[in-house]
Amino acid sequence: MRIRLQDVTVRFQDRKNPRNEVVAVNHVNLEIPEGKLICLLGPSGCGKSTTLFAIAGLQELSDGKIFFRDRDVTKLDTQERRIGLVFQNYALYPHMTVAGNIAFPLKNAKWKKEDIEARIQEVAKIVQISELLDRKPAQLSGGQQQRVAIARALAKKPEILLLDEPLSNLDAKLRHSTREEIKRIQKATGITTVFVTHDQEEAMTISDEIVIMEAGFFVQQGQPQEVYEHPSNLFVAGFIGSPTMNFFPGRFEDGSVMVEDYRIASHSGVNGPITIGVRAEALQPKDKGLKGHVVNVELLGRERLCQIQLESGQNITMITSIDTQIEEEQDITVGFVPGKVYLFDSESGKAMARV
Amino acid sequence: MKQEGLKKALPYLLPSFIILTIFTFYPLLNAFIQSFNRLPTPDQYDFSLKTYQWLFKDTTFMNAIQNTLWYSLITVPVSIGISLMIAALLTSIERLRVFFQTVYFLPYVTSAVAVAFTWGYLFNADYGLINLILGHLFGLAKIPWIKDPQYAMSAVMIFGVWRSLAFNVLILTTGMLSIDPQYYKAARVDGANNATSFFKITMPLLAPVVSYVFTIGLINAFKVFTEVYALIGSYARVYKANTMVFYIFDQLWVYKDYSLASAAAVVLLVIILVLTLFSRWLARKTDYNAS
Repeated sequence: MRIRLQDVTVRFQDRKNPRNEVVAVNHVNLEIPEGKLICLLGPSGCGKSTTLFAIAGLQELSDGKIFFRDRDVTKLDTQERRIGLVFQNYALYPHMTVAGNIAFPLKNAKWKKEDIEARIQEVAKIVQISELLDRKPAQLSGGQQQRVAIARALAKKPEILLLDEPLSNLDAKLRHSTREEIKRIQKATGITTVFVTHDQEEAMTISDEIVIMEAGFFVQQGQPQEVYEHPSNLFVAGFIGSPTMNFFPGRFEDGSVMVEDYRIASHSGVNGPITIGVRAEALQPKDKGLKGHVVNVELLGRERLCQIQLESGQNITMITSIDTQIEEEQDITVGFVPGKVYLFDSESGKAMARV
Repeated sequence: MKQEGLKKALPYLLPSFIILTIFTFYPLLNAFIQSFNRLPTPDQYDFSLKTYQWLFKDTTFMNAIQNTLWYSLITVPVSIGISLMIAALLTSIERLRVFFQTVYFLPYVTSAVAVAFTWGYLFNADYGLINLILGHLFGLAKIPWIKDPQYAMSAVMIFGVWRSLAFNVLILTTGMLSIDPQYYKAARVDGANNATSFFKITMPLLAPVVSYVFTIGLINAFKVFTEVYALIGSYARVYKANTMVFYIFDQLWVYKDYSLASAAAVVLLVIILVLTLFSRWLARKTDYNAS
């Protein structure tokens, strides 16, 4: 089901100072395509979970509208929206068995007993928990609880599956397998899925599209690679990608892009300061460039991860192929790979060009 | 190592152990011994079961047991039922909750004797508020609540329910507030209405707390004395409103019959012991985390 947010705004009263208002979601417009796995990504407190709960119908809007396809659901109660929601800590009912948890939404919807029984078996098979149906949540591992929560959310055959930080309560190893699992379940069911995370790597690896939010504002939407290659502003550029993009204070000078006295490329622009972003893999040792000193080198199998302190005092990260001989404590001149240098407006942070 | 630990623990354990021995265990044992002694003075001893035979033939005692049983079986569930409703209402409001919580807790910290004085007025046959309302609503004749064997125990029960509300409401409200609100959000997503939420989420999750309140309430109800004494006064047995502890009190201080009082106390102890075992079983039964 296609989801459209139109001018969605959510304001909270500040608890400590009731006269202050906090805008958790600020005039957000976005469209979520049908049948895809979409990730709401941003640092904590950016309003992504609030947005998710607004879609779920658990969070009232201060302003704006939400459409499922072309139907206005803004005023609809959560149970009329045909959504399934997986909470961050799963919120499995501790006094019910796994089967009881999955049956609960169906009983409330007044399904027939045989149908409930059949549906339990069906969803249990999808999320692979068939042998756990008689257990209580306390007897399950985190990963199993996660699956049960997804099974419960899927039970009522919702048209949208919403997951709030689904992986944050799992340890690193489980997180890997579980995110594959979520992707598999989404593929198997074809259900429009929206999940919230603050982990950009998680978002990059499993989602079909990423929606990036910052401080309540919608920032950028696109496929992971697209967002990685064409960040729309400084925030996205710095947030997406690991290691973090290197930023340099640069300037336009008579049709050239300069950092200190290193001329990077020719590009027309009004003379004045700009911010230049270069990813670690777009830095190379060159004859011309910025002079520095290699502080640390990590060998990562196929590549070298080098920490370099420039003469300006700035620390940067460079990734080179393992064959490029770079040793710790050596002096180095770092140049930029043409075509992979991002120019940002220093004041607004907006992306200007890639040179 | 174990010897060392005991040596260190002993100075901390001993004081309370000594106090418990002098003021609890010794009297307990003594009461037990005295309950089998049918001689008039505690100094001479003659073992016999006569006291118990006497006790169970005493209609006043049988009436006391009956009263105590009825009192416990009625006031405890009624009080918990009302408390659950009040607690559910309290948890559903955010503003003024603390204020109302305090109001409902006040009866707990006020003296039963002082409050009974007020209730005495409420129960007054001629100008009491209760008769006034009953007369208005149902056209009932004036009921001599606390001066009639037919009604005295009912008056005590009403007063008892009111007295026990405070503690129950406090514990149940706290219990309800400690239920993770996520469960209610999840229940909303799962299409549960308020009634379903209450009976399928709140009640099962609150069961351990309810079982606790039930046990404590039951044990306290079996020990009921102050409510009777403060409301009806020392002639409770005349009005057929005496309870087991009241009977013990009477035998001890009015009739000075130590062995009969002791025997009655032993019977009460056995009942409470059985209740305690029952409560432990109940606690295990209601623990939803247990498999």
